Amino acid sequence: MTSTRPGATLVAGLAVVGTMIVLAIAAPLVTGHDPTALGLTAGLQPPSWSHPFGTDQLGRDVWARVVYAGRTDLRVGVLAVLAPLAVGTLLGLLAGYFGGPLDRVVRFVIDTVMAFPFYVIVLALVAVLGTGERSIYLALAAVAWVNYARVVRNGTRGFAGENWVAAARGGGLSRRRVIGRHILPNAVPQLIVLAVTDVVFVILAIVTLSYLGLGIRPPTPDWGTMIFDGQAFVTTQWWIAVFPGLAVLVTGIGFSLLADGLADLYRERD
Amino acid sequence: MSAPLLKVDGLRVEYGRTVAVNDVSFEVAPGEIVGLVGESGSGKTTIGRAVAGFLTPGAGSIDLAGDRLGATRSLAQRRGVQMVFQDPYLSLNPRLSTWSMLRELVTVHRLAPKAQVDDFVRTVLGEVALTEELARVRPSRLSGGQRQRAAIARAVVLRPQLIVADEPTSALDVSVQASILRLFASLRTELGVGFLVISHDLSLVRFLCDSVLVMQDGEIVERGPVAEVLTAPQHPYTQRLLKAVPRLPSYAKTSGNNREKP
Amino acid sequence: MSELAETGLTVRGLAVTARRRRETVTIVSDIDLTLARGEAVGIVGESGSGKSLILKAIMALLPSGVTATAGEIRLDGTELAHAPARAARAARGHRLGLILQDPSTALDPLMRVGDQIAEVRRHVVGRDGASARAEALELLEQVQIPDAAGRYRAYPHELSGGQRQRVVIARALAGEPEFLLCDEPTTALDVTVQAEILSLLDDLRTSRAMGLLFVSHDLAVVSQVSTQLLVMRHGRIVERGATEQVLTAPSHPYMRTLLDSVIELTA
Repeated sequence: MTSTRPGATLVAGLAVVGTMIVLAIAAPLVTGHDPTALGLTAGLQPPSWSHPFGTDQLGRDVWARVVYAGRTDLRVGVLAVLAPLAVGTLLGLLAGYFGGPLDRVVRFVIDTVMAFPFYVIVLALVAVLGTGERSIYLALAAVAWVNYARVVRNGTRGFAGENWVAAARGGGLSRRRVIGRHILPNAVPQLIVLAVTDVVFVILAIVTLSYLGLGIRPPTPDWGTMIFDGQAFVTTQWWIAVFPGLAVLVTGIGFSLLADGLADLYRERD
Repeated sequence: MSAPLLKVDGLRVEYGRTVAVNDVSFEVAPGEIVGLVGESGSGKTTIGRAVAGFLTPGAGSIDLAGDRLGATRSLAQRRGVQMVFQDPYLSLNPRLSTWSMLRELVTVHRLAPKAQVDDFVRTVLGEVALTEELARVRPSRLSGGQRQRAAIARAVVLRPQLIVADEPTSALDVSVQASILRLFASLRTELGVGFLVISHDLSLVRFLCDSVLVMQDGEIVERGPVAEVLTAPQHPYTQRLLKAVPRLPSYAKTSGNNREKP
Repeated sequence: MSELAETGLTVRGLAVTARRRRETVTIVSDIDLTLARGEAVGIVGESGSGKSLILKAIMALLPSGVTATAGEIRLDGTELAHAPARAARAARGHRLGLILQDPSTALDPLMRVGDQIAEVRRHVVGRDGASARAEALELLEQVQIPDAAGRYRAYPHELSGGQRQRVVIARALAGEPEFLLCDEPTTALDVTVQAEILSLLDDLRTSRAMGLLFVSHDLAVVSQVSTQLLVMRHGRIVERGATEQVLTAPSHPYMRTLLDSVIELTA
């Protein structure tokens, strides 16, 4: 329906996400200051040539902190998607292929988890597990797998009834092979799109958790803690909270564009 | 008379409380092409799926060359009966080329030494008249007839004794149908494989089959050589079926090529 | 040919194009056909030949992204595309009837079949409730549904495929169409049911002096119901004429191939 050129969304998404990743990796090269170095006499300075994003109340360079925080948040965001992706895909494949009691149990758990708002349940779990990166991974693994499981389960259920699956089994291929080598590749495009979309939600969850003091622990720079720290000054020294906020926004838009672009690409190809 | 290739005895299949197939017995001789005709709901597809091992019958036995085919089949038993489905658009893995599909089967069944797998696949492609170039692309880039050839190659590659073909041409254009049927006939001659061809199309049965089983409501109501059953049907249902087949007006100038058995 | 003399449904120079990615592809072009009342024109062609699109273009039912870019479609000399939208819709709904391949999706699953026919009598023809119901019952009898009074209150899923297609035909007839457009109306049906539906359509054409436009991939089926035959390939008409003429003296090589690939039952 869109009049935009197919691929334009993908290119835009790749450009934004790529820039963010390059900046995060090359952090020491693109910043002139240590993100954790205090400068008690140089606090609360507005953006200038030496501090393009200004400094915070402890005199730390906001540009350096935003870039280094990107390192943390992007890394955790991408890693935190992998475990739920793996767990969800496996359970979805098994439930969809075999059906029966296993399918009923998996569907029941999916429905139960989905009945709770995503952020509420992640917050509650992290609160129980304690702060830190490890808790974030665990909490997200426990919750986010349901999306993958649901999508893979429904897809697999459909494929399992199709004749090419029957033919593969009738041709003597083992169940494991049919599931792993024949059904799974058909679910991969959808999974990639879903995972990229999920990175947005996960990064937002990490930022939210850190903002609430449950996520990345100081002094490691992170957008959520930065926004929290800056909000006391937001009417007078706006740059402290606004730049990390913009970083979250741009990352979110970048991954969303990337997911949309990939989805268009796969649709086009089939 | 040689021993039957396929012997189905007292087959009964129920779906819940409906009896789909009731006490059906028949045989297929080695290299014979048997047609199974009937209208929707007559149970013909159910029989095909039971013979191919996709469903477990409630009662009765299925023997292939004297070997009892039970609920779970060994690798060799599964190889023995292969199925070709009606709609080639739904019966091929959309992400798998014919080439990879055939290679996988050859490897899993160890049909050729490692170094000769590609050659074996090429031989099979030759048997179904599909070029290597076409075999290397995804099914979505093939025409209906080419896809059906790929699906037939998937069956033929395993060197089965019996191929069950369920409405193998009804999803194809008329101009392609005859060529697929000729392919079946040549596979029978060259590889000696027997066929159970399920169809609602009596013209197809006349063209391809040696003998025919006519089904109605889960039972075989008439059977015999094609020449007899389709020229002098005994059962009223067969008579009605035959009368209903759409025919070209007698003045139509067809070549008559397709009146001969291939 | 003078415009005054033009009666029936006529299509002149019709072209249908589709937008795919960024290019525009012509799927059907140079289509001319004339359908007089009481006549039956059959369009035969293989998948992708564009035969169904002609019918959809006449009914203004082309899918999104597909448009009729050239040509005219006239009913008794009146151009449908240029008529005001309401008038054109009235003409299509009232004077043209449509029957599609799959009877299981052509009916409202939650409405009794008799009521679906009565609805057309009320809202298209303008009958009052009681006479609409009576006439709906008559129509069910006309399409030879056994136990029509009992079937009137049935829901579509309670009927067999053949009976559903009869209901679809009855509903199309309820609008008193002058032309009935059929797209593969028997392809989803068993052969014995197909034979009955074909003879029903033939009877209705002669008894009601309707024009019948019949699209199918099956040459034998088309030639049973058609007085005129159009053969399509790759979006163009490659052969046309009286059914007997086309079948006995085909001029286009493709028609020859098509005839030769027919597998015949009679030896």
